[in-house]
Amino acid sequence: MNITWYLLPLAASVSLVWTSSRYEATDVIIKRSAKLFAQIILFMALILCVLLALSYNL
Amino acid sequence: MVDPRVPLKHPVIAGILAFLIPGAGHFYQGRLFKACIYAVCILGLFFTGMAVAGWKAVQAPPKPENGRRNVVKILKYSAQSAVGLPALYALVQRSRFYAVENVPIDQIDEPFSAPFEGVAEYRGEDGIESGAIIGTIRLEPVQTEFGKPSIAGGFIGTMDGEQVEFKLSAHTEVAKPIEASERREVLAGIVTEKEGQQNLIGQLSGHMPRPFMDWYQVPMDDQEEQELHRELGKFHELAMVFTWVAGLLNILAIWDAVEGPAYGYGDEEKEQAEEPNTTT
Repeated sequence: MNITWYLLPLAASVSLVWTSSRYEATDVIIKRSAKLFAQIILFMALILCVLLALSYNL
Repeated sequence: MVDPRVPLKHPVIAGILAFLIPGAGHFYQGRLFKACIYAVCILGLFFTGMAVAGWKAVQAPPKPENGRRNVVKILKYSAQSAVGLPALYALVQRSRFYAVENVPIDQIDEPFSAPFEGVAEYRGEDGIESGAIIGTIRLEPVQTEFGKPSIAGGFIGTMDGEQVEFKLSAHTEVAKPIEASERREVLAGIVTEKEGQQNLIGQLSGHMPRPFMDWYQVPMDDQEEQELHRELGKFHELAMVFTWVAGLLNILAIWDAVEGPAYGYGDEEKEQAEEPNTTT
């Protein structure tokens, strides 16, 4: 399995645990975790795009 | 001020439980949803990391050499140890590994058999024969000609596909019982018996399996660590990251068990937004 796929459970776990340690309400935890998860993935995707652009034609 | 809807019960007990087993503190407090999140996420990350590294991602730092501590290994283990019991077993294994009785053995109390793989080289009827062997080794306590307790036994199996049976000399050596490898090395002489006299005709070396609890989380030396790194490549770093992150996340869980959620219950913003409507 490509190592990149391991990012998904890692990001999901970090999002869930971080948000759980901030709030108590179940619906708030789920919504904010989903948002944080999306932010992490988007940020990593952005970094990937920047690295791909920088390595273009290398 | 902790929200009165958050049942902290005895925060210190909850904190200790949360440290020992991720999620256990919240389970004790009756915060089941959070207990499930912490247990699944933290233990999931930790054991995924362990599995990726062949169950060798966690080792307690080795004993200081020449009075110098390995600070990097101490920091690595500190992060992992926050997962609690699953990582604290490494401390038990460390003390077992450095115990004075953990040395290569040349005597045993009871006979035993185990699967065996290795190589054999001996002087046969057609000259020197050698090859890979696989089969079962049987080791038993004996006394040497000088009355010293030792290990002898036999091997039954195949050598390069052909059935063979060897008698082992009374100077068989078996590696330490506690080591970071799932393979326990054995070195023995192959003998034949003629008119009650034993003649050494060759040598057998290889390994038999070591029980899981005798190699799991046992400290590795630099060579073993480099070998693991060579085998796993970048997955070794991934495994380490998973176990470190699991430990660091459990610190958040412990904090939550002791102090409650950092930002409050979570519905305060909704309540504030609803308040102006209710007063007008």
